[in-house]
Amino acid sequence: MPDVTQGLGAYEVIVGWLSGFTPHWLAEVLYRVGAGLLILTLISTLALVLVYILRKVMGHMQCRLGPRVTGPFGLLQTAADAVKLMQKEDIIPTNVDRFLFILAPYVVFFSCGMIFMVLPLSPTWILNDLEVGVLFFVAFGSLASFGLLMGGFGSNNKYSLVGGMRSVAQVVSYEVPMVLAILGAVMLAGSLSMHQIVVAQEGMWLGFIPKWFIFLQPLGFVIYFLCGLAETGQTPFDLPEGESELVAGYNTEYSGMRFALFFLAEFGNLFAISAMATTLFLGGWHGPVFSFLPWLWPFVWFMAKAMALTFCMMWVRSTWLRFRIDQMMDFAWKILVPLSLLNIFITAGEVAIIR
Amino acid sequence: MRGLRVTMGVMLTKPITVEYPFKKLKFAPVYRGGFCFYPAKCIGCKLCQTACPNKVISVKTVRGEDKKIRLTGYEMDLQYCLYCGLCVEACNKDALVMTDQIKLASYDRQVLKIEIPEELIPAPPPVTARSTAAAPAKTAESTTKNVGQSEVSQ
Amino acid sequence: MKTKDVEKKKAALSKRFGEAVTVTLPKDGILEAVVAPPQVVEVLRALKEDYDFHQLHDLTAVDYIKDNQITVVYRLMNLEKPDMMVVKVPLDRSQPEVATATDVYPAANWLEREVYDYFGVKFTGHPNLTRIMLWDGFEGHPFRKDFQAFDQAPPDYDPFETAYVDFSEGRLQLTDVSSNGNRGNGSPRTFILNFGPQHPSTHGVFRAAVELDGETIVDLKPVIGYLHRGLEKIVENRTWAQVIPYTDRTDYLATMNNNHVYVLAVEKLAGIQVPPRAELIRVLMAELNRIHSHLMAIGCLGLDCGAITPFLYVWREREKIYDLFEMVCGGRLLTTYFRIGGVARDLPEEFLPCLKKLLTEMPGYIEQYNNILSGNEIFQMRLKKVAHLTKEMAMKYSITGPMLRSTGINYDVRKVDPYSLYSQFDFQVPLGKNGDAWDFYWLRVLEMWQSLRIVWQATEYLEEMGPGPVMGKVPKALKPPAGEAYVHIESPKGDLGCYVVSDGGPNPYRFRWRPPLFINLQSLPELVRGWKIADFIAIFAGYDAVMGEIDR
Repeated sequence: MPDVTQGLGAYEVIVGWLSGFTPHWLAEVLYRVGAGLLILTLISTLALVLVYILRKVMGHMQCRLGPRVTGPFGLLQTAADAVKLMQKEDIIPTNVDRFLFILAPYVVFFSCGMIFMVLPLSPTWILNDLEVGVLFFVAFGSLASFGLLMGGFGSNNKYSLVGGMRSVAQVVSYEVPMVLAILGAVMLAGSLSMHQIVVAQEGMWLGFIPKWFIFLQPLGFVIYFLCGLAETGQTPFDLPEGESELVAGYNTEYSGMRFALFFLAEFGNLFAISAMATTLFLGGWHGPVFSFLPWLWPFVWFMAKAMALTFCMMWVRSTWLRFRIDQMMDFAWKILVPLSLLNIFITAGEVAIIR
Repeated sequence: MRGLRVTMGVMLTKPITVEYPFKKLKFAPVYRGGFCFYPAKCIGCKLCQTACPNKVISVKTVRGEDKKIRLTGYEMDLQYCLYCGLCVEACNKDALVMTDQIKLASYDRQVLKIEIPEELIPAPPPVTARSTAAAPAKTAESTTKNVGQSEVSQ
Repeated sequence: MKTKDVEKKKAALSKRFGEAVTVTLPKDGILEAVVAPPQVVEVLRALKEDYDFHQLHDLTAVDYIKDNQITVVYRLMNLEKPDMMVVKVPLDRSQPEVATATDVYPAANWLEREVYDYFGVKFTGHPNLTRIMLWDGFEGHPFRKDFQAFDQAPPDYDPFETAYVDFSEGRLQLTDVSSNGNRGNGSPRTFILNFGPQHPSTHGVFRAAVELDGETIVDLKPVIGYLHRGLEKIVENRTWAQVIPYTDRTDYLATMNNNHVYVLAVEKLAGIQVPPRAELIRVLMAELNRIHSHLMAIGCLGLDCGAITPFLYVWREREKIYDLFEMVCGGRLLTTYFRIGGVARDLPEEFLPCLKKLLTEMPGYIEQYNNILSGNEIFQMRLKKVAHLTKEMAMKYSITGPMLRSTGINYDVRKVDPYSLYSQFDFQVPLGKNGDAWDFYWLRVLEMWQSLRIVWQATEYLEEMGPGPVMGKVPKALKPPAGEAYVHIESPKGDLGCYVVSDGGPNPYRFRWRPPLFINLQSLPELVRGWKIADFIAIFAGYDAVMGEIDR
């Protein structure tokens, strides 16, 4: 396979140019800030695209068409929705706890933004290749539950309160099997850094089966996928936002741009979980590289795999129904945790064989 | 798992929805939509008025000099109409029929109180002396009024 | 249905109660006992315990203003034999008071409140005699014949003083979380959550004030009456034939069945013969509408549990049934197809081929629903063993319909008291075992299969029969002789009854709709106690509530 680790060399170029007229530390800071903004743009664009894809996919699965009228094939639908949400009146009910109410969407969006920082989109496009990338991901992923609880409690609304409580219970319970499932992949790769994990999946067996971890631990993949669904609050675990029971759960009192932030964060999380799953189990950005634009192809493969997993999530969302709260807890603690422990034992055996 | 197969199957087949308002479906001939009244066919028997459950229709007639009943006004207060079709069934001259107009809502209740305008009411027969009078105005082109159509669909 | 062992019962009742009870047998064969007001509860208790009339089928009142009486009519039934009897209690119009029947029949709770609301009859000893359909400050009792309507509107509530809700232990304020914190004796802190009139899954405007302890439901109070239109009073100002569009609008998902019960009642009262072709078409339409209503029930159950796609799949089939209805009568949802003496018009030519096409495709679609919904393990886990409905509870609350059959009691009016042409059709009545929410759902699917059988047989009979008249001999201005008639049918929601009283005039004197869902819904608090919120939604969806019928 051709060598794809030649970076664009953006760091030297940009910082070098900026140092021409600003002190070096400021140039560094500006570079980092620019990269952060780039990530935010990426999240927003992704959310836009994902919302449109979700509506189309769900529409076709329900033997109807999705958006059609706004733009050719309804492509501008999400843009229209975004404009609509932006021009809405910012309603803050009178008796809410203002601090919590206002802060909640930002916390959730912040956590979503942070986890994008360590996703290896390509060999050289990783914003911050931390040595403990996986740990960072898990930590900030669970920060979202703070935001949901703040939103639920601060809304001074019993529906939101119940929704917030449910979401905390759910996220906390499903952290455990998720971490255990991730641990399997980490053990096989031998490092917590995301980049290293992807690099460890390089190569092929027998010439045509890629060395992805999914073939070594399919159970881990399934567990991680289910826990990922639960973390983001998707069906079949969408109790916090149970649309037919609690009108919109923690979302009930939010309107306009705050709701848009929750919404964006939800879709960003969706993509982030799929991206993490591709990094850990599906080989990240590995894939055949062609000579035309060689620096773009890893990114394309990464996006393709992540999108496929997101499609699976939408597929599941259209088909299955939601659990009851105690059934969900049972599922997490009585079924997933033992299975993930079993998975770790099996992985330990595999590591012993491979090394 | 079978459910996933089902939804994937449905996703790949053609959707059943019709892209209204760009494409419309055809209604059955007996569909009970908006009304269409032919004043020329009406004989003023008021059977539709008695048949209506909600007193939507009011028929105004006058007995002419030749002892024949002549229609002078026909009003429908469509805000109370149930679209049940009992009036259409009662009319045995087919003067009142229901079409397939479905855009019947309006922003103002007054628009829904409709009546036929003066010029469409058939004129009284010319008063000539006795026998050889021309037959009264059952003209070949029956003037119709599509009630509930263009005025209310704004 | 005719009362069984008439002479024996007549003799026994006269002997036991003497002058307080006068027993007569009118021409429709249902024994009628006129009881003086002080002895009512005694007689009812005797009828329930000694003569086995264990279900209170209906409780209503008729205002006979000329005799200066308001007569409360109790209709009792024995589901097993089956057997029916009527107890009439004439009350003085200026001060109508009678003892409550809730000690004998708990199902009388809401029925008596409704009679109090409409007529002003005071039931002494009733646990909570307040108005049920109209708001608390309403002046007057609308169903009395001398009631003059005037403009009155319910009072405006301040946003933070929403209406108080009366629980059995006393008045509790809805918005306050901590006011009813510790109710003594160490009970945990509970709070009241209002599943208000506007809610995505309350099947219409229905309000339930739910007292929650965490996620478990401690108590529930349903509030209805948001869709009350005074149907039974409106009808008293319409002629007999003009009532039919109004009957459509009660249970608007099963309109043909509603029309059916009304025209059957009037035909029984006036003694009108219906041609066989019309009867066959009526059965066909009623069963088609049963399929339609059960499809909606299944879709909504799925939707309430979280499955959004089956809801849209059932719409696909319902659209096809709507197209069939449109072909026949011009209306899709509100059909107004039946007439007194027959049906409005004959079937068009393209109807039978379309129907046959639908019937051949339906089994495939039902398999699709089974694959995506019934076969889903999560769905089964959500519904199985949720809500234990026992036989005693079902009898106590006079539940009818698929919920009753889910407990194992075999009572389907089409088999037990066949009306129209049902005795000539071959079909089974599916029964459940456990009385849980899964049975409520699964019985509806099975009943759909049986309805498909009936429709197939009906199409075959229709083809055999050949063309014929579809309307019997009915005078233009119908004036049935004075008297009364009661007919009950099996609608998709339960045992739907229609009681018409005529005084020989062109308008009905009293038109009573026996709503199965209204009576079933009284069991909701007891059925839901102890389960979680998600279960409440699933159980309520099992009732398949349509507010048009509950509130009329």
